[in-house]
Amino acid sequence: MHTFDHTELCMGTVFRFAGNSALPPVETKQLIEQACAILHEADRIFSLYKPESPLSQLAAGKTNLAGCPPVVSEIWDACDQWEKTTNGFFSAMTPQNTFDPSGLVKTWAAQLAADVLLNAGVRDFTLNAGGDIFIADGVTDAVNWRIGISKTVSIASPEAGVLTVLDLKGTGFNSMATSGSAERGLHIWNPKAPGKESAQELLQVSVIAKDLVTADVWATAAFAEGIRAVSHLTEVPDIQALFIFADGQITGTPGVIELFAKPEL
Amino acid sequence: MQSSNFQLTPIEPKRGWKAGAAVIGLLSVGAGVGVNFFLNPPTSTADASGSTGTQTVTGDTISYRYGEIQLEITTTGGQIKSITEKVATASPGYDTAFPYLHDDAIAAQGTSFANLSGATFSSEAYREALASAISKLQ
Repeated sequence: MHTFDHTELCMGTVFRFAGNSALPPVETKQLIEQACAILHEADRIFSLYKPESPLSQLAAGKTNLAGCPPVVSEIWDACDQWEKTTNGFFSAMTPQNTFDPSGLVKTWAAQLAADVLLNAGVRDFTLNAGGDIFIADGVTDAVNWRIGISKTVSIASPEAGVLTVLDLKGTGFNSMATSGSAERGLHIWNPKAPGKESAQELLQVSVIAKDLVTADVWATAAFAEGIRAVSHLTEVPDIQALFIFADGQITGTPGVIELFAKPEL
Repeated sequence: MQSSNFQLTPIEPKRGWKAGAAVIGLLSVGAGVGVNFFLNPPTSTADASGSTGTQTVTGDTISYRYGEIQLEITTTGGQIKSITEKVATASPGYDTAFPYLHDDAIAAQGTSFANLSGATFSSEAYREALASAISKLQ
């Protein structure tokens, strides 16, 4: 058994794989390389920051869906499905009416990357995908089941700190995603607002779910929906959520109170 | 560990605003339909005996802390048959009146954890935060 802790810069953010592996260290290292290759391949196809990416070409009208790798259609369909599931509050169509699935691609790719390790029998690790966390079922150390939720300021800010801590051990939840304006400003639009204006009622939403994509999509949708998301998400099965309002109030879905970490004695 | 920057604000009791808004809303139509609201709360068979036949009336829009509310009531044969929220810009979230969780959030603050969840860190922010932390090393 050996520990590993690998940080990879990709998609303009930070991915961190950390845990324990019973495989020879060289094999673990290869698995992490494969996992990171998936992340970079997703970035190559879906980045809107790279003008040569298939998605940039699509957004610019220089190609069509049929001219893109098949995975683009797959993501298109997934976004479509999530738009229906969230009553339209998650949408990959930008205010400019171009296709921007960034809200899905990061955690979709992260989940595929985590699957590389899981499928090879490495089950005691966590993956931090730029602030969205996946905890594999085999995580042993209690501290690795606990996730700090950042304050609603950038982690580069002098006031940066931890708002609170959740503990997912034994809850059946493996993932948490947080949406907010602290790091990238108002980058989430409200697909249902007349001009798709940015949502501003909430500072931050954390969603806890079984899988990373579900957590991420609902966090994005809730942020766009605003305070009405509190009751909306309460009706959604198998997720919990913690909301920070613009005035600093903290509230959550009824079950989230069970997820707060118990203070250590 | 730092304490929270957030201010504690007293919680209104569950459904408190709704009852209050219902009172005001009904009062505003009370003159029209003759509801003696205080003697006959709407949960029982309210007295709208001044009215005849079936009537539907709408109260004024009432502003309150988290939005606006406007009620519509229907009376038949002098009894209130239904109360409908015409306008409720209150988040239904507040409607459901979840408790605020500051105390639980603060109580959990001192616990150690392995990962930090936040709005997607940019690699630049991550680098800055890292540099900042390193600069504070003794």
